Amino acid sequence: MFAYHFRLAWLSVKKTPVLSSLIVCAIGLGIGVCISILTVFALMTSDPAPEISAQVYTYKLQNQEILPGGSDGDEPSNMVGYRDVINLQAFDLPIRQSIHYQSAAVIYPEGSGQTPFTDEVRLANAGFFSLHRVPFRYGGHWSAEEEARGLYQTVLTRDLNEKLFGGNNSVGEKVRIGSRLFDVVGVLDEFKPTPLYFELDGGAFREMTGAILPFALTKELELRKRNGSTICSGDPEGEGWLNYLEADCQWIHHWVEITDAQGEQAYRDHLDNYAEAQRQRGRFLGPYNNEVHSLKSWLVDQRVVDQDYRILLAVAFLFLLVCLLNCIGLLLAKFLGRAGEMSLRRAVGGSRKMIFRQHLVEISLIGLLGGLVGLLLAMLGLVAIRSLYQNFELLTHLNIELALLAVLLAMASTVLAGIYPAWRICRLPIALHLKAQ
Amino acid sequence: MLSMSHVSKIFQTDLIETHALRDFSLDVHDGEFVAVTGPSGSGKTTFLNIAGLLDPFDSGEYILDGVNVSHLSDDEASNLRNEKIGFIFQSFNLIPDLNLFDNVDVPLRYRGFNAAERKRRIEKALETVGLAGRMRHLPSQLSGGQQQRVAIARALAGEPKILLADEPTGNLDSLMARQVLELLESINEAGSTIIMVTHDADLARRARRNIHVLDGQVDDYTAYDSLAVTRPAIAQESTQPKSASL
Repeated sequence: MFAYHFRLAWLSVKKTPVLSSLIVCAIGLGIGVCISILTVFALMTSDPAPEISAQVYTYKLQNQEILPGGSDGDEPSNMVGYRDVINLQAFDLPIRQSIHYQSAAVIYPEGSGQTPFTDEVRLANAGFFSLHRVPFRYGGHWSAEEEARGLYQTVLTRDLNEKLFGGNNSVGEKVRIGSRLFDVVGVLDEFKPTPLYFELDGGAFREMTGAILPFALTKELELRKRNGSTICSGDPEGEGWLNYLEADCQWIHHWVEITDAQGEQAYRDHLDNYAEAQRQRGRFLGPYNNEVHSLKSWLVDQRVVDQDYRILLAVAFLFLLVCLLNCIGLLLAKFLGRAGEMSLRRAVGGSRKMIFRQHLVEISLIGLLGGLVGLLLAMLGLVAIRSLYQNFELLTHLNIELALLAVLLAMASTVLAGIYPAWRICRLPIALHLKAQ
Repeated sequence: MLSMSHVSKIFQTDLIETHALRDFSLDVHDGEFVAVTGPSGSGKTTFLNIAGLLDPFDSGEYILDGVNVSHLSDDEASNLRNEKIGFIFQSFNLIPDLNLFDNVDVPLRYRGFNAAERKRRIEKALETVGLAGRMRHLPSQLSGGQQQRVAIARALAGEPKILLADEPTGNLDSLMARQVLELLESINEAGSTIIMVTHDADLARRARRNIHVLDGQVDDYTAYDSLAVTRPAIAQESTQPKSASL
C-alpha cells in the first residue's frame, strides 16, 4: 500500500505544481535558515577532541596578589605564569602535561625567492603533541630529553610547510625563525580542533598556523605572547625578559591528562597545596577558589558559545515554526481541494485510517522535497555566512549528520504540520462532497 | 438483503430542523431491481446515503446482508461498504488523474487483493462494460456515457451484493441513458441487487419495483410481477451488445 500511496502522492504533487512548490519552498526556507544557523552552532558546541575530552583537564589558579578586603576577590586566572607552571609541572601524577603559549616571529624562507614574513609561532613542550593527539604528516615531535638539551628544533604546521616547502617532506630541512636556524623534525597533518580549546584566548574558532618551537627555549628566545591575552597583577620588578618571566603575569596554557576521578582530586589537592605554599611566601592572597576543569566544563566556563548565538538559533527555529504554520494553511487548501476524490475513496471502502495514511505519505514526500530544498538553501546560507564573517571559516561546513538532520527535520516538521489538514480531510462528510463533485 | 425499520434522519442547523427521513421502513430482497422515485427534497438521496453507509442515521434499525450496521466503527463500515456495496453516481465520480484501469482499481486496493487478482477483476469489469480496450485512457478522453460505464465497472469489480445508483443517467442524453440502463438490467439479471434513485418515471418503470418517497417516508409501492412482460420499453431502438461503444 505504501508504493500505491507514494504514487498517488507524486501524482498529487504534479497535479498542483504551484501549491506544492509553495509548500516545498516554505519548508525549504525554514529548514535552510535553521540548518545553516544550527551548523554554526553545532560546530561551536561540538566536542573538539572526543578521544581525549574525558581525560584532559586544565585549571584556574587563584593567584591574586592582594588581599580581597571584604570582597570575594577576583575570579581565579584561566592562565598561569611562567614560574608557576614550571613549579606545577613538577608533579608526576598526570600522564601527560601540555604547556604552551602563542607568539609570532619572522620566518625567512631559504632560497625560495620568497620574502620573509611574520607568522604564528607557538612554544610548546613535548607533552603538547602527545596530550592533544596532534597528528603528523611527516616526522614527529621532539622528545622531553631533546627539549631539555635546548636543541633548536621545530615542527611546522601543514600551512607553513606548504608555504616553505611546497608541501613536501621537509623533515631534516632548516628554517630560519627570528634570528635562529631550526631543524625541522616534523610536519603536522590536518589538525583543526573546533573550538581551539587549549588556546581560547586567541579566538576559539581559528586554525593553528606557523611553527611550533620547544617551550624550553622560552627563556632564550624571548618571544612574548602574541595573539592572546596576558594578565599581570603588577609591574615586573626590573627590566628585561627574565624579570618578566618571574613577574606575576599569567599567559601560559597548562593542560594535564588524568584518567580517573581520584587523579582529578589529587590534582586539585596539588593545586591547593601549591597555592597554600605560595601564600606562606606572601603570594596568592586571594580566596581559596582554585578550579579544575575538564575539557567540556572548560568550554562552558569560558563561554565559548556566546548567548547571542543561542538567541539566534531560537529565532531560526521560530522562523521554521512560522513557515510551518503557513504550510498548515497551504496543505489544508491542497487537501480540501480534492475533497470529492477523498469522499469517493471513502465511499468505495477507504477507511479514515487509510486516507490519513495516504496523506501522511504525501506530506512526507513534500517534507522530503522541502528538506532537499532546505539543504540547498542551507549550503547557500553557509557560503553567505563565510563570506560575511571570515573567522567563521571553520564553522560553516555542513557535515553528513547535519545534512541528514535537515532532511529528517523537514520530514518530521512537515508531518507535524500536516497532521491537522490530513485529519480534516478524513473527517469530511462523505455524502456531501460526492454530491458536490 | 437490505432491511430498514423505522429509520429517521434529521438534519439540524441552529435555526432549522429538517426531517429528511421519518420512520422509514423498507425491505429489499436479493436480486431485486428497485427504483426509488420522488420529488426533490423528498429524502430519496438521504435514503441512498444511509443505505450505502455514507451517512449515519438518528434512530431505527438497518440490517444489510445480515449485519446490523447501527453501531459499526469506521473501519467496519468501510469494510462493509467495500465488500458488499457498489456505488454509481450521477456525476460518475471518476478520479481524473487516474486512467480507467487505476480508477477501477481503487476499491480493490482497499480490499487488499494481490496485483494479479486485481488485474483479473479490473479486466473482467472493464470487459463487462465494453471498455477493455481503453484501460490506459484517462476519463477526460471518454464520453459521458463511457465514463458512467467505467463507474459501473468500478462498482462491479469488487463483486458487491448490492449496487446503489443515484440518478445514474442524470447527466446523460437519452441514448446513452438507455444503454447504461440496459447495462444495469443485465447486471441485475446476472443476480445483483440494484437500488436506483431517479427522477425519471420512464426509467423507474424499468425496475421490478418502484418505491415512491414523499416527505421522508415511503409513500407508495408499485411492483411488477414479471420482468419480461411488465418492463416498459423506453426507446424504440434495439438494445446494443454489452461491449458496444456509447
